[in-house]
Amino acid sequence: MTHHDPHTKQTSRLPLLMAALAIAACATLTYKVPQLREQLIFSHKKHVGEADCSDCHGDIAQATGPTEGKFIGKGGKHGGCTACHDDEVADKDQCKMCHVGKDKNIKLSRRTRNLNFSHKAHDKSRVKDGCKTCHAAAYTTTKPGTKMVPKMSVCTDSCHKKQMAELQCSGCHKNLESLTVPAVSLAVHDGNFHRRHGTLARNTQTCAQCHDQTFCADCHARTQAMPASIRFPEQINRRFVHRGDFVGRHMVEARARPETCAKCHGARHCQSCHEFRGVTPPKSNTTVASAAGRRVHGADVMKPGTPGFHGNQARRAINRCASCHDQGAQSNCVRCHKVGELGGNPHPTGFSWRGQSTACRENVMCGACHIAGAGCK
Amino acid sequence: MKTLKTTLCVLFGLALAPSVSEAQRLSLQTSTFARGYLLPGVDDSRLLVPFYQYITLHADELGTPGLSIEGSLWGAIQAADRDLDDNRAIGDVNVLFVRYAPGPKSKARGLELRLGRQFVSVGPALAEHLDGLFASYHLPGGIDVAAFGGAPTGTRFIYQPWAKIDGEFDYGKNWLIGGRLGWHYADIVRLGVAYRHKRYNDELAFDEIAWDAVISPIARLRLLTDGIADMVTTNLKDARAAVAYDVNQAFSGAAGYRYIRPDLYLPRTSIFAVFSDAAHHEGYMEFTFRSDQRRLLITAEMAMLRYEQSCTRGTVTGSTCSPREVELQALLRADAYFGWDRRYRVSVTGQRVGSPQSGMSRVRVAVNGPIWRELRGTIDVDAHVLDRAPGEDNAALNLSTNSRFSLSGSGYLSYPFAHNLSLLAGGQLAHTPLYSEVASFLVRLNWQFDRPKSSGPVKVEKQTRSSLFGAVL
Repeated sequence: MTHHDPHTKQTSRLPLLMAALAIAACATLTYKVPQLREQLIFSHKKHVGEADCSDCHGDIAQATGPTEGKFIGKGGKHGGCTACHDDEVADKDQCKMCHVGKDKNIKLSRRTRNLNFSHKAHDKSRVKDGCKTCHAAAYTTTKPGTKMVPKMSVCTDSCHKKQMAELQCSGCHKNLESLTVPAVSLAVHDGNFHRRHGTLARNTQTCAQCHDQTFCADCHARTQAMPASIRFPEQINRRFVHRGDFVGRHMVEARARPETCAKCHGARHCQSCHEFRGVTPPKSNTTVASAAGRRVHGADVMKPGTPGFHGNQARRAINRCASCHDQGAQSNCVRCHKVGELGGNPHPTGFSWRGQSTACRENVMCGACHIAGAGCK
Repeated sequence: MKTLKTTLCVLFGLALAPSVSEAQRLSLQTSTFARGYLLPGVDDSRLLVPFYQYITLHADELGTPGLSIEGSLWGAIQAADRDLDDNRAIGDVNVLFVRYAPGPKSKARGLELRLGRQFVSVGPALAEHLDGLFASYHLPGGIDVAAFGGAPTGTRFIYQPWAKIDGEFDYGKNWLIGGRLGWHYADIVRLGVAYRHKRYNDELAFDEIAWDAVISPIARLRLLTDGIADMVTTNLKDARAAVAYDVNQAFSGAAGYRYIRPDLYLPRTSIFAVFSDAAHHEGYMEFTFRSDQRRLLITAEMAMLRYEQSCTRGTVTGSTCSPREVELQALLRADAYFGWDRRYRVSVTGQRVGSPQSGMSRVRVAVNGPIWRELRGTIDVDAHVLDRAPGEDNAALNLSTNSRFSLSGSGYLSYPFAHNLSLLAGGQLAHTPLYSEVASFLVRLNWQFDRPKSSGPVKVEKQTRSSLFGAVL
């Protein structure tokens, strides 16, 4: 197979593929999940005045885990309803007292909460107003499906202020990946978190509350076999750097932020790929190096005064030069960029290093030009 | 295994194996990947079919309270045309260390010690990967002290392969040390100063000090500054000042300024470290909107980059300068969650990247949700248009399709067969301006073992990986 074939074939199939993807996306988006209040008539407000919470929610006061949706549970399909409504349950004509429509198979929420929470530890002896402290909505709402789980501020504005101030998230949250915590700006994972997470990570105690280092390794390990975007394609909301056709846009992103690539990638990484794809010649093949250099850098690479002149590029983003040419004293740049050669003195105006005089004589890199300290101040 | 360091890491892990078996809590996750893709080369396209194995381990309470082990390893074998990285089988240890962090009732509370291969993020050492020791201690009064030391890792991605000694790293000649002294008062003030010293082949590579400060004088407002100064050239390497304000729980915004010297990200051992001094200036703003219950998140970012002028004088060329240029970058992103349990997710991104001589506009739409029972699907479409085709001004560049347009689409299905076993399969097709992958497939099998089982009473579970069963959040 030549390298032209795959593109030609894929291009002809692309419209069909994209149409199929678009249809599937629309179908997924337009699917409607039945709402509980469209299936059931139930007023929490009416029931809290006539019954105790435990009449319907059983031994919730003894539960040691989060129990959202753990409605009644005992006594078959209708659970604890039969304790008061056994006549209505037995009479088929009374179904519509509670049920709306024909669908009687109502599925109550069984969502798993990623929380460490114990109802038992929050019993009435410790919480002043009992259940109402956190579940105030249950005392006012007249329709089912109303969110009963309290907002985090209910906890953090009252008993758990200290934990909030010190970002002790793991006491309650098993992980924060699926959550954003608006009031805790430092722990927010939405918005521009990807850009600033490095700064936040300087205080690693914050991250370490919820993330192991193996999590960091997904992206930051020096010898990652595959980009994280390939390993976790279903995690569409994470800001993986190398998504989609990254190779097709990497030169633009590298120009825009020259320091970014160098944080992870070194010369070997760029060089091995460029050599295989013919962007640059193998280092051993010096006979074709000059022609190949013009091929990848453009025809103006050696023409001063043109936008493509390599000097302009190098001054702006020297990291990009280093990604392929950093062979130390053997670098081809050194041949021209030294006093007396075409490139002249490579040091920018005002160049200075700490201990410059000693470094100039002892540093191996300096010695590439300043042989035996020649020219050192 | 490619390096002496990796071999030592594995031996280190084997020595710890008996302790792991005694751990009170043990979490073991494995991911097996089969991947296939075409790699277009200069003469021919090659088919690559590598198999990858990832293993992640976390063991707590190894006999002594507060003693734990974390590990993450991978291996790969190539089954088709071309070897991986000049070898048919490769692998490495990402993380493998012992951690001692006694609980709040211990006399040594506030202490953390880590020994082994690990990441360190302290001041200028951002995600530094090293084999060594890390220690931190929280003193009374909100004072934090942290220090680290060891040998930097780096094999395939190392900046300078010639820093190796006879094909292997020399622990004695590649090393770094650093630390941070910090102080915080509740959530009002956090200050820190830090230091990093790194040597390659016994030559000075980095010698830096850094600072970071976050001050919140009133609720919802934060003033932030951080930066790194290079002590060799006595220049700023990276500095930032920003202000962030949360209008309410729905709206927040931030604006800032950043100064960057890209050349100072090169180690001082690089021959290129003496060539350039051009700086970039960046001003940026960002806004975030979160709907009630965070079912809709909208993020807008704008940045303006100004590239400074830099001049040199050549013998023949005379004085030449890179021009000052200003480029704009922008990103608008929306993430929406549908269904009572947020089972459907949609992510839409529009992006503009301006850069000298070129630029790019990009759109991405991704959808994830259940299709039938536990079967979930993911569709991800990503397109970008380059301002200039890679070979537009250079006919000799025969590597380009001379197209400015790139379109890639991927589709994946995932299904959890059991509470600890899930399968994901799918692929990607792409039309690209360069010879990148045009077709690929991926099959992934995840397995998880927990002891004791996670259905027990309340206990803290750290996220040992990026959500093994990411579909079930």
